[in-house]
Amino acid sequence: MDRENKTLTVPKTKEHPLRKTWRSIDYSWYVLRKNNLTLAGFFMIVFLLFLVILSPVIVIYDPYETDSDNVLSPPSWRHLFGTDQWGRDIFSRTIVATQLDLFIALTTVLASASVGAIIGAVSGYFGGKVDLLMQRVTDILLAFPSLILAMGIMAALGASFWNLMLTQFVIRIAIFIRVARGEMISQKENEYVEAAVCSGNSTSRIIIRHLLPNCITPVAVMTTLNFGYAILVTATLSFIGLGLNPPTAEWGLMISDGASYLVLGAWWLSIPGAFIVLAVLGFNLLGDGIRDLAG
Amino acid sequence: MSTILEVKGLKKYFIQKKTGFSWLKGGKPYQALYLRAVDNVNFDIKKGEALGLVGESGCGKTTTAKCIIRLIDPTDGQIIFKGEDIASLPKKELKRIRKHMQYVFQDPVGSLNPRMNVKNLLAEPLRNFGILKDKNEVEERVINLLETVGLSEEHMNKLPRELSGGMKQRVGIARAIAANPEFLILDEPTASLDVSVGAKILNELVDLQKRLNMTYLMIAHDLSVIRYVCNRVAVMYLGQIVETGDVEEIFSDPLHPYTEALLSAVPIPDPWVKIKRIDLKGETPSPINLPRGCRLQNRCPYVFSACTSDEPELVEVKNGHSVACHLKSKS
Repeated sequence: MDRENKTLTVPKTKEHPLRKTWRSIDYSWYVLRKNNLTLAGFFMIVFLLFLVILSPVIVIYDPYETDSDNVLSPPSWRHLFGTDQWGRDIFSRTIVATQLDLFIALTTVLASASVGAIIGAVSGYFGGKVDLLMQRVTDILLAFPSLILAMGIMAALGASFWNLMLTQFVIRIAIFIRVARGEMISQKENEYVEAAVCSGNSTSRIIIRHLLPNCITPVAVMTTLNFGYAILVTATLSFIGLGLNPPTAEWGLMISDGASYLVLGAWWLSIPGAFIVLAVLGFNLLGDGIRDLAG
Repeated sequence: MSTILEVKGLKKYFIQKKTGFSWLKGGKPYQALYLRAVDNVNFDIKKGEALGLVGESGCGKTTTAKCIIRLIDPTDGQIIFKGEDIASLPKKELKRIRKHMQYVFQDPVGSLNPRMNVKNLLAEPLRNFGILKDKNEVEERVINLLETVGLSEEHMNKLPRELSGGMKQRVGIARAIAANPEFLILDEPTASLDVSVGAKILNELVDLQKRLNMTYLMIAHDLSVIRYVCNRVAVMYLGQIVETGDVEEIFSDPLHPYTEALLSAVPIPDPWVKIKRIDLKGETPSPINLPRGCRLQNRCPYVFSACTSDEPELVEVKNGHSVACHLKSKS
């Protein structure tokens, strides 16, 4: 048999590197389009991100500037969502709050997901005593309902932006550790790990380059599902006075302020409330979609 | 011809803990049971040779092979590779050995990382063993390797799931030969492929061995595969080698009853040929609870008194043909 016959030839087409990226975007869009709820969630998040990006243009009032002539006014053309008890423009405050809440949710969830995934992966890979110790620490964190734990930590540390970031990071890290560990335990038994050993890889390279990319799917699903929850926790903590401090434009604080003036109207409460609903619902629907896609 | 690999007294016992409630009565918390997967295996391979390791499922073929490349740490014994005992080398020094010794896995699907494309999979041994550093050189060598195993440049950016089973196994072989090893362990390279694709791959393996002057240790349960690729064959039964010799010698004149039975089970593609089947009755004993004496005693048709008392040793009866059987080694 001559060698030419044995070579499987495919017609040569050189593909532009961007084309592959475009194909994956195209594919994601195709999947999104087939699932109405996921698409709805996607648009809610896109809408909020759009507002955040446009904020330098659409925030025309200083969100902290008081106006004693215009207190608790209902929506008008001058103040699109009305003003609060100090005469501050609710529209501007809501948009600024969107920036803040999304920032807190995205950074803390991504931070705890990446740190948790690495800790969980190492714990699952080595097993034994390392695993035992790490999992008992995780057990302690998981033993508390996360909102109670968050309230406890915030009450102990005091209400401030950085303490809130830390709390959000801590209450969520345990579940990421667990998810990554479980996946790692099942992935490390695969034969490609042995093959990687034979190819001369070091242990750290096997974990980072070979195993982590294969463990990432469930972690990514958990991450999207947790964005909404993180927003809710930020708002809840601020509402009960354990999150951010009062002058800050934040959804929970705005609801808390508005709740005191509920007898005079629901505007100052329902607008930030609607934004919370939009964000939480959006992230959850999107997360569900991604979970279905991954599973 | 110099000996490239010599295995002496290789043993691998897996400890199985049997827990019970005896500790309530003051006993040990568990009872340690030894599963004797590989029990005193001896063989050697000369440079440029292809040795076949045959035996039924669960007889310790793969464990032996994984001990040799140290994916499993052997319990006891020596593995002398190019004059150096590697059985007890620390993990850090194994990289040096694996540059010269590579492994082709049985399952082409599971042994390729699903998140790495073919190019990265093949570039790994090249970079890790410090053979090529430059990006262009690596790419050139990857294309070269793909062409060696009958694939082409087009497959370079594909993920394993975009390839067929045969192509995946070719990638597995390409990865194993990337670092130009002298010794290649093939763990049933065609077992998970259909016959026509498997035959193609076997042709290429024979071809590769000649061109790159490699030494093979090939594991198979398919005797025709062994006959096609190997010069010598070792038959394993329950963690021990029962017969070794040249392929043609063993196929024409099997001495051990187990080998006879194994060969009589090979189908002959002719409906008019009457095959004299030798049926081994009974079950394979459990490797945890082995009988005293010969391991085949409860299934062997020629069993006699010595079989139940003494364990037979591998004795050379003809030139290069050894057998571990009381009946045959006496005469």
